[in-house]
Amino acid sequence: MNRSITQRFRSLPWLISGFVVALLWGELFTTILLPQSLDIMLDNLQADPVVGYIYEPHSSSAERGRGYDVPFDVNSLGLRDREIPVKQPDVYRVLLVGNSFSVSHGIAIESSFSRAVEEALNERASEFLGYRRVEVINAANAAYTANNYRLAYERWAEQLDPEAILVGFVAGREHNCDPAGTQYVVQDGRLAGRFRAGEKPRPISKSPIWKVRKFLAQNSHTYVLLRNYFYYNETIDRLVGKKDGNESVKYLRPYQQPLSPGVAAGWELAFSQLGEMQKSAQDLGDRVLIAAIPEITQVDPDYRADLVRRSGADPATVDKDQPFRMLQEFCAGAGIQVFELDDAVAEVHRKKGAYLLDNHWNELGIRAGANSLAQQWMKSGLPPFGTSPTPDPK
Amino acid sequence: MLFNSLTFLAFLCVVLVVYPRLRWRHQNLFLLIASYYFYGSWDWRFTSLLAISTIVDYYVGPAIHHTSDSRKRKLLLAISVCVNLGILGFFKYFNFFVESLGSLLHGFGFAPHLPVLRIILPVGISFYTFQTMSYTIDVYRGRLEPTRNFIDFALFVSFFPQLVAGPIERARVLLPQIAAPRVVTRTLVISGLNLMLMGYLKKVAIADTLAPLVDRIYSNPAGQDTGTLLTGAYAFAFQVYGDFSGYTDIARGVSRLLGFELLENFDAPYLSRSITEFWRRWHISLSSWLRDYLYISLGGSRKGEFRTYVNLFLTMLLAGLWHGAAWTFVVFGALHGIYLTVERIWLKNKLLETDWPISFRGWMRAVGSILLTFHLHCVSLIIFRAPDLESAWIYLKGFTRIETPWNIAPPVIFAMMVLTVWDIMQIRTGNHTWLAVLPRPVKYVVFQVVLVTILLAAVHHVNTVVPFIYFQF
Repeated sequence: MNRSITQRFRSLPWLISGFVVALLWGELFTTILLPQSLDIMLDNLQADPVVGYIYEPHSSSAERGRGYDVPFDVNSLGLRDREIPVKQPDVYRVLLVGNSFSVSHGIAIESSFSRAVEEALNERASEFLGYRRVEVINAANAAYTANNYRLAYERWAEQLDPEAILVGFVAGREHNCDPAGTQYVVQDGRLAGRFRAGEKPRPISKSPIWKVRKFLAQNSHTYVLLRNYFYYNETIDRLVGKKDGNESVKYLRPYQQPLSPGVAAGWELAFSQLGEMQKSAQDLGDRVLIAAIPEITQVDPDYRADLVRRSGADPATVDKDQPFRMLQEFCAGAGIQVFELDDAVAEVHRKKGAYLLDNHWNELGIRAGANSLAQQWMKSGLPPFGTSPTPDPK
Repeated sequence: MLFNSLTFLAFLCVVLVVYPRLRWRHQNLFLLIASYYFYGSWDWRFTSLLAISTIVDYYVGPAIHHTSDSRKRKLLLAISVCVNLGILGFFKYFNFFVESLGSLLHGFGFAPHLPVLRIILPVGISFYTFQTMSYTIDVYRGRLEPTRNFIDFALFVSFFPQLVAGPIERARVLLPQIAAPRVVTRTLVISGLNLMLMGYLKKVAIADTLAPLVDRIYSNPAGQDTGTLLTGAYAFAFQVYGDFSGYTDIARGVSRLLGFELLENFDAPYLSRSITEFWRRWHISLSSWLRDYLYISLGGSRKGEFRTYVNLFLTMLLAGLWHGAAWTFVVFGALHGIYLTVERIWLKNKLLETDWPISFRGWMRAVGSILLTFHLHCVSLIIFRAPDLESAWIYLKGFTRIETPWNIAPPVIFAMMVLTVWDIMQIRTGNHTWLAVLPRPVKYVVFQVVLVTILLAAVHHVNTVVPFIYFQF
């Protein structure tokens, strides 16, 4: 018996070294064959007294993830855009506010939503009498909510003097809106916390474990795979009775009927911020327009069906049009023009795919959305489109 | 209840806890109940088909055995074959034949209103039908004594590890194991677990990782460049091999844990040097079944050269049709029939060498033959996998454009390397569980690497459990 124990003890180094080799192999295996969406590594934020946070002016970094690796350059104002010149009289200026979809996460600036909209508008507007060159300024930022959209407009309106404010409104996500007065804590170039008005911002934990987890989340495909399985696992959530933790349930909630009180309250908050923005814009003689950006859930029936299956929801309770319908209802009352981009994005998605692997729209989705927006804008007859096209010289 | 699901693992745990605590006869009854539960987990109605086949053959077997009147024996055999093939034909082929007849009549200018039924295809029906038929035919041929124990026979037909996707067991191999007490030794358990581990690696880490790639490429072959089409062809070849041989390994492993030894179904098929050799290494239980009960019954090679070719072709045509009720499977079988016939006419089985060559030239020729055989099989698999013949044609036509032909995706390279090394090791050691005979340090490393690979792949595929490809047959 003693001999057997000794033999087993002798095997221990082999077992341990085997485990280390297996872990290394596991990392290689997942990196090459089962790549995950690693956490975004951008640490280029800085606190801003008005909007909460903006990009660090003049910073230059790269945004890397599954299927993309793009430079991320910030101008002197803290916007992900070129340097903004003094506004010329022959320029019609649009300020784009929104979240990561509008800032064009994972996409080079040349192909971003702001540039695509600018090109699409110029292409069409140049055919009209009294054409003024359109400039679209990208004032969007990752994880902004409608509260930040309003604040961003207030922050830049005077300085940049836009005539139109285009809100990139991802209706399926906007119910996570921060209330007015939210305080944002930026730490090491990242958004570390959000605190409601009246709350005292707490110091953010930076324990060694937190640092290791962050490092792994940004570098290890195996870690991200296991974390996503065990931490965001619907089955485990269901087993432990954690209904709210079910990611699929969360993503599906804005599309479910009857409308949950939480989503209804979140939308009410987001819409009230849009209403406030509209009032401020009217005071300054500007116009608020909304680009209703679809999520993949709205345009991909297979993705939606998978989400329904995983969440355990009744398919009959899911209405993909609910977020846009709610938005339209509000905007009709508030007199805000809405451009719905879902049909155009869905068409390109069916043919070639319009989303990145992390479900942000890709270059094709952006281009389709921008063209559709410009088309609808032109049809609406709103500036920069004149009332009549340029007469044919013949 | 898929082998790659937690439900199956829970089911297996219950079986393995209860089974050793029972006496031998009770073990058989328990396994029979477990097998019916396993099969009924897809749809309880399917168990009635299993029961019908079982009851008919249980009574027909002794009746044939006790009769010396050859006409009566033939009649009894015909009853068994008609009932079994009738069930199979109705559930699997009725709509196919009706639709094909409709298309044919439409081609002649008729517009017939033929009935198409909404039938659910019972899983594994082709496997257990062939298995139970082998019993009756062997009894008819006098090669097997019929069993007198209904439980034993019912368990032979429904034994859950191999019920839905084989290996198609022969009664003379499996029935004696059922009819005698089993001894589950430590060695048997270790080799069983070893086989299961290999099976899960092939299924979860290889086949399921290739599945999305294959689905994407085969869903739109017209929009793919040559490199992608080649990737798709290779990917499916390794997916189907990993999937099916993985299933077989798990089935054989589970059986060993219960004290049974099932037939080998795969023996390094992608290292075959000819199509003839390929069919001796690929889905062995089906090809040997077809050889013993169809090819030989048709006359085999005893009736002259021409009849041999016809018999070969017909056997492979039916082998294709066995896979499913679609023209793609028929053409798949026909193509293999042509391969075998051509090989027999021109090469006279010259490539069918049993030993591996020693000289460099011999090796080069062997490698060339292996590559040629593999690619011929890939061509047939394109037809096998395509949703219809038109898509298969579009896919094959895509190879006439020469663009980026070496754009092979990493999962395919991984599958190719793992399965080839695996098969070479299997041939070198002559052992399906060669992992267990490695030196201890290497074994520890390899086992942990395999385990980690399976777990990571399983976690990755957790929300998209891919059924075994051969379950549909």
